[in-house]
Amino acid sequence: MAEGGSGSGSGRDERGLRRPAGELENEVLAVLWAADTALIPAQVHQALGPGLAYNTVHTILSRLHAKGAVERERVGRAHAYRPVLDQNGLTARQMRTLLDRGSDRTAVLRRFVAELGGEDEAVLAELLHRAEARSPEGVSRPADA
Amino acid sequence: MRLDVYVPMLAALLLGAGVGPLSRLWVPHAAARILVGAGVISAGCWVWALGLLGWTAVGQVPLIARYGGWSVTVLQGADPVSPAVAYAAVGMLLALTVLLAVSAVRRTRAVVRSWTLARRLAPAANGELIVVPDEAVDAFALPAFRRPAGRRAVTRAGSGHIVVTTGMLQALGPDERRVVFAHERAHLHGHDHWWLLAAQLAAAANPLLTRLPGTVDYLLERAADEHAATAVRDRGLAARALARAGLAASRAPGRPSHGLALGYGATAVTARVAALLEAPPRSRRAALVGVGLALVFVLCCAVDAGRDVEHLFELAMYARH
Repeated sequence: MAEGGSGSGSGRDERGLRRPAGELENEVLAVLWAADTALIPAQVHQALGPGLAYNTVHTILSRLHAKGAVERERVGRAHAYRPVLDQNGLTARQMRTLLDRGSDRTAVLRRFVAELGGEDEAVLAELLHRAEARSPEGVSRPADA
Repeated sequence: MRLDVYVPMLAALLLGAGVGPLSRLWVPHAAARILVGAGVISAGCWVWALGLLGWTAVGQVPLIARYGGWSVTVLQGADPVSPAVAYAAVGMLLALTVLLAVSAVRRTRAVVRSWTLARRLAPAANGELIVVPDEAVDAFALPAFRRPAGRRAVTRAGSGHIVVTTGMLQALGPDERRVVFAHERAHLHGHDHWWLLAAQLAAAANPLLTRLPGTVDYLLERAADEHAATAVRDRGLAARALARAGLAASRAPGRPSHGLALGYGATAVTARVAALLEAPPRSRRAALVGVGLALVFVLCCAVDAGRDVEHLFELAMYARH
């Protein structure tokens, strides 16, 4: 548990970047949400890439389970984790209804990608190609999805 | 009074016309704040100057002159402002009051809507992250206007939540998701929604600044992109994440149906990706000094014009006694 610094609730990736526990929890949760099935810690570890220690991933999963953010089931000798769908949370439809009400919602909400025009698709594909050519590690995406 | 009362209008005209070139003088984070600051000061001076011009006409209304205790004839004789200009200023002020009120109501409603969204999404939050099971490709920063009352919603004070759909998570790789998280976190920590709100209100007070909110909106997105690129230490990765998210969003079935609310329209995302593929932007100190000096000059003119109007009315008061 020492190598990943997981005991103190933070991890260090391959670039030597220290990241707070909250950010690592986000990333682990994101992997679980993106997957169709429950994942065992080894799968989560593999999906996140080589940067994080296995022990760190395991600790984060246990912590998320303790908080009730994920549920787990026994698969052989390991636990498989899946995110908990909060019954009190908003459904996608309710959220879209709230978002669509009024055209000036961007006054408050900052969205990652705004609405796109038809001709943007080709330009974006070209730009994505250029971006992938620039950082070689981008071509081989970790098989998480 | 003859000239300096018109300086704020000239300043607003220049700022309104030059908002595009000006925005490229500094890194996006700084440029957004400088332009909002300049816009608010310029809009304030503009309203003040209109008020001064209008007051020279309103002060000549006999009833008001009697209450104020000054002479209408002296005021008429000494007033350098032509009645046509003065009444135009009064008319414009009335129109602007209506515009500002409409804008304030709309912004308040947007804030309340987003607050409702935050309150209803809060129970599903884990820390700052809220995942919504939805095939639409969407992610946004949801500022906390009040400490959320959710069970697990323990966020740092003054920040808010990052909302992301499963559609977005599935479209991106793990390293690309970190870009999205860092981008939205930058919005929350920068309190970007307040900066945009200030720009919108400045534009409502001064129609010459119509292009300011759109430019500030784009700059805030660019600033968050740059922050994310720094956080993951890879501009190419940041560009990739944004391009992939944009592509997925344009192909997703649950694509939002509403119009182009951003003003910058369709090219904003592609422009942001292209900017990330270029070298990091740099700021020009000299340009900041120039804008600062110009604003000080405008403020001095506004103060001087105010003093001139005060003297005018003092003159009219003494003449009566």
